[in-house]
Amino acid sequence: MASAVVVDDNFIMRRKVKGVLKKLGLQIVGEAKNGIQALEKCEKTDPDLVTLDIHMPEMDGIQCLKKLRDKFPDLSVVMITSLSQKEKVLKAIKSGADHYIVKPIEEENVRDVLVETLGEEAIDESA
Amino acid sequence: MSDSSGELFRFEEKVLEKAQKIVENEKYQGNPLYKKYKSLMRMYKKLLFQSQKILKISDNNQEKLRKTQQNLALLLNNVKQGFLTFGEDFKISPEYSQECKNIFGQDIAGRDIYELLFKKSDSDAEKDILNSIFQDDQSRIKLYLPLLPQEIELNQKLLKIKYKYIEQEHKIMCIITDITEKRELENELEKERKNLKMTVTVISNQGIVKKYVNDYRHFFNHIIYEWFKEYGNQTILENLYRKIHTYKGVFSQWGMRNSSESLHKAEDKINDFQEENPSPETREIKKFISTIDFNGFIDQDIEIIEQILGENFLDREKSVSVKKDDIVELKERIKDYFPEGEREQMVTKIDKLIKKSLRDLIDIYEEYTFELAERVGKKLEQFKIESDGVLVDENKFHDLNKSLIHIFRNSIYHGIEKPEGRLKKGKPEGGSVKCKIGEEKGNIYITIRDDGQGINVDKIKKLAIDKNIYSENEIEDLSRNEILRLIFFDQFSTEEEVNQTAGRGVGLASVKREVEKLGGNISVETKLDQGTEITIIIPQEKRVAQKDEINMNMLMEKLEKKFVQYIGDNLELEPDQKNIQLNQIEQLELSDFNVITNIRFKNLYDIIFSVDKKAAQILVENFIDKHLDLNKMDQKKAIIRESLKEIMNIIIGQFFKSLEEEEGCFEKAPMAIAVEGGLLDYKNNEIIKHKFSINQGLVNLNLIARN
Repeated sequence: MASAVVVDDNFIMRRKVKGVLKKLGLQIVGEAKNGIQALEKCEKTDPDLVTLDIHMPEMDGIQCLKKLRDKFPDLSVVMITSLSQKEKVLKAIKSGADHYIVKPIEEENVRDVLVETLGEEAIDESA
Repeated sequence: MSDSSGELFRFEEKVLEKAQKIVENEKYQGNPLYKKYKSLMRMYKKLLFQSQKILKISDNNQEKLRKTQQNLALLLNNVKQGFLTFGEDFKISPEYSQECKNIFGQDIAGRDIYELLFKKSDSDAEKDILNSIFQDDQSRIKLYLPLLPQEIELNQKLLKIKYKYIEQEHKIMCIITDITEKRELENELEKERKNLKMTVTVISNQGIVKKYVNDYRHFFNHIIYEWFKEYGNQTILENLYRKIHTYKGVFSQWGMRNSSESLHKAEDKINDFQEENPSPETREIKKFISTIDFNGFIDQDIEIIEQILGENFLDREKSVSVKKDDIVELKERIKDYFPEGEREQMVTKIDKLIKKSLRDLIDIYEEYTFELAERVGKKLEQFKIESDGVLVDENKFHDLNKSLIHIFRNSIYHGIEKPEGRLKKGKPEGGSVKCKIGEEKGNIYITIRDDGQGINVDKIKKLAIDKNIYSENEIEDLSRNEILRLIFFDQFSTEEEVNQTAGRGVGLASVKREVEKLGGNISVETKLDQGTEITIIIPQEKRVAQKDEINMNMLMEKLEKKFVQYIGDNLELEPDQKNIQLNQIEQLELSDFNVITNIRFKNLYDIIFSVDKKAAQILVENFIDKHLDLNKMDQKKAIIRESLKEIMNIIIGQFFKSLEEEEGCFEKAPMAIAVEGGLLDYKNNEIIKHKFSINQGLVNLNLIARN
């Protein structure tokens, strides 16, 4: 079972993302509301996947992404974004994000993104 | 092809022919090499045959390939989509579909994709994205593609673009569709849909729409100019802004989007004006207001509605203003423009026209109540209407429903506490307003309750004493209920201070009036810190004064016309019309001189003509053609009374003549009285009051229904 850490400063968004990931068979091993917490959580839990809100206070999603990349080269990082933030998305891709999910979070989209980043076998919808 | 292969193998075939002749020649048959030669010849023959076959196959395939290519080209040239590809150098490859030429109006082979497609867009983001795409790993290229614009405008065309990464060629393919016409059509359809929706909303709310449109016109044509007499310059702009905002909200709720958009722009204009003129003069404000075409704002929507429902739909005098045919046609159009599901909803809406759900009528207050709560710093958690589908005649309930605003307003202003106050009392931070509608034993009941602070009965008592409504002794005899009921009384509720301290007030008297007009009853129950519940019970069967109201309006209009005509003919003056109102009264205040008469036209009515001294002087001087000395007025009272009676006789006589369908007649001859501070008692009779002024003299024309 693939493990995930969900990072978002908005608690409702976290709940939404967690819900969809769980439904797709991922195990949520942690959540964080800013970049600093995210790094700590990843250090502790060593997840397969991190979803990262592109815009957060304290440490921006992209800064956090860069740090995660440095420390955990194998970690899959998926950004959560809205399409109006194109420039940031571009920056994130260039900084090594594995993929991105455009809000609103829809199961179908998340599924596609997970298949492309973690592979079909990571998904277990029977869960 | 066999020709060509024959041609191609002519030499070989000649060799074979020669060899065959040798084999057939008897003179070689004894030769020791004959057998070998013959076998060699056979093998040669086989080989040649195979070669010819292979050539044929190859030819066939080539033809197939040519055909495929031809088909592909045909496809590319005829498909209504532009296909083009570009690679790392951003140059467009020469193989693109013919449609690209139509779209771009030029040969695009070798052109730079950025220059061609994205240069005109608003940001450099596209350049950034394009530059990044080919620098990244091949497997990640598709991550970038959704970031490229999906729709662009180019040469007045709207283009939809899809991107695909072609791995084998390491190129990106753009699939471009010209959606200009499609979009225009969609917009047209959308517009038509919106218009139909608006029309349906408007007919299902026709009473109130009429009312608001008339109010709107009246406001911007008249009332606004009255304001200059009453308010300071700054207040006028603020009030105007609020007024516009209200109308904007109301119109947009009915889908009258042209009107609400225009009003929205007007709001902006006022803001700009206020910024540019921090302390404007009256003249400047008037000039500014005159530059805004308020009447024009709503014309467009009304024109659309009238196109569908026929002209004069919003004509005030007609109570049922939509022709059946128009309704049938409207339904047909709805079927054309709306998908199933939505369609049925709208048709049901139209079908319910005759009777309307009371819930829907009250529903309009939800937004208002939430907005008000926010405005005064309160938190409303819930606005709930529970109804078991009570249907009512909208016209009948219009006035009552309109007055309910006072109850909701009171709940927010005085009932629901501020969030911190609520938390201190251990209540949830946000308050609730619940409305229950039901039918029982031939009655319709509406209860509206809030979970606010309740009404302080002691404070009401104190106020009743302070205001000399009751003495201290008297009030002790009243029951709690009787005291609570005081909040519905005029003397009680119009005072500002009641509003501030007792926590109830303004406007509840008008709710009571409307309830009683419908023959109903209103009551209140309250618990300190738990909330207040107001219950309204309306009998369903009660014959409502509705018809009479129309009748009265018509009578008053004619009466007023004859009065104005009399003044114009005899005094060569145009009376200044102050205001007109329809009300219910318990008492009528008389003026210095009054002529009272009782007429019959379908029903019985009192016509009371009240004039002050100044007006009496003007009218009578003219009538008897003599100068009256105001100081010696007392001696002339009799003359004045008689003269006024005669004037009234003339006016009413003309008035009777103007009644077409049925004849009107005096029930009692006019009677004139001169009083000071006189009152006439009535029992909630309907009255239309019309105020005029003639050269600073005041004239009241009253038409009162005798029940």
